[in-house]
Amino acid sequence: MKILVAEDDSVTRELLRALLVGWGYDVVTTNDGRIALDIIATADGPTLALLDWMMPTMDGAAVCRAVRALDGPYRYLILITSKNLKSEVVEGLDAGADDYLTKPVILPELQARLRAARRILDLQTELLVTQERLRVEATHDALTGLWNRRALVDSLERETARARRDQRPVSVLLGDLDRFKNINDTFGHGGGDAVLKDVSRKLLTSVRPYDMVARYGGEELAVMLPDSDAASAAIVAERIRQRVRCEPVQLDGCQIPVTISVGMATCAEGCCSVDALIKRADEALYAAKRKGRDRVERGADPGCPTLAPPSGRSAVGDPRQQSQ
Amino acid sequence: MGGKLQVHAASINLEELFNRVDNDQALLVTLIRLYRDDAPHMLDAIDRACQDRDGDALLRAAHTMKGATAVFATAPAVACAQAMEQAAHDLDWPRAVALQDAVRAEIASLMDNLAALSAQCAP
Repeated sequence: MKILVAEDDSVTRELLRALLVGWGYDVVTTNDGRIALDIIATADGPTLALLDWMMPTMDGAAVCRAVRALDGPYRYLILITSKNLKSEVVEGLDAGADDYLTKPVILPELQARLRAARRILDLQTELLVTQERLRVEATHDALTGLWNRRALVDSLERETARARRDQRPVSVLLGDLDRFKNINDTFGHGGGDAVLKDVSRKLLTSVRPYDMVARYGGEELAVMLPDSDAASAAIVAERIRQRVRCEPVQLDGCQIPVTISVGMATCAEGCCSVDALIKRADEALYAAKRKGRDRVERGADPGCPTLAPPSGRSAVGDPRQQSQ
Repeated sequence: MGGKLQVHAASINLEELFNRVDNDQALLVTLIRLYRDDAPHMLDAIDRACQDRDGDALLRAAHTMKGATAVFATAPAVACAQAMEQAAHDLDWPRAVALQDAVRAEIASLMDNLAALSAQCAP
């Protein structure tokens, strides 16, 4: 664990440094309060600090106050002082210190206070890990690891607002695996899950890093394409469709042919609501299914530029693929 | 470990000192060297602050001197530095000036004892 020792007296500083190194700490030292604050504020700075009360440029109490105003992880601060007046202890704790030690430092006391610090910091880490796990669980699909529907809708709300402000387009693709029930019936639910995971990976690797891929429903996947007009979105949709069709899913030595139907909609200049955008993509998806599957269809989008189909593939699916 | 060493000064509590450094003689030697390097500068800072009647500077210098000295488990020198710190806190210049010689004498005595102790600890 990284720990900062900020102490202007070189004897006490070296004593603490040597002891802490001997106890397995990764020790950083300084003799200056302002430098101590800079060290704590760095991205991978120590989360545990021993701060002398009286230091040049900034005293320990001022460092505590400044640290408490910082963002980032919780830092456990122990003030070291030869001041033993209760009023000064109260002042130090009020300034944001978690604990205090009086000089000269007594080893068992120092060790006990460091153990207390680690308990708090470990608890803090555990809380943050749990918080992050819950955040991921609340926003991601457990099977595919993709964003979930709620997260997609939340992001679309933000993205359409931004698109409206910047007068930029935003597009949505809704994809549905064709005849997925047949896959489940033939290969079991494990096979179905494997197909979903494989296709999800293909979608993720077919879009830009800042596009958002989500599992919208059972076998329905969605992609949000910020700053993409209908023509750009159609190219992405067609790339996904082709890739899914041309790369069968490998499962236990079997090749599972999969196709996907895609409905797309574009909100030019952020001029529509999220509900309307999704509804149009859904209608387009329905049209793609109705017209034979394994194809891309664009939803009604009054006022948006006319879709130019990508070269080599029209908006009408290849009938040979429809049988898959 | 500390019990085997002889220091002709009742002012240093060897047991306490060795506990403080976790019975690490090499560390003790390092701390003594640091103290003997720094103490003259701290004494100069105290003298300068007294001469300039600079209360903040005297408070800082006396405080640092007290903290460093206290590591060596020596009550008289710590008491002297603490008295100087209190004088600085009270801005009691007659008392501060009167304490200057006493502080120098105590620190000089401590440094001699520490030098002897360091010589015994050195391999």
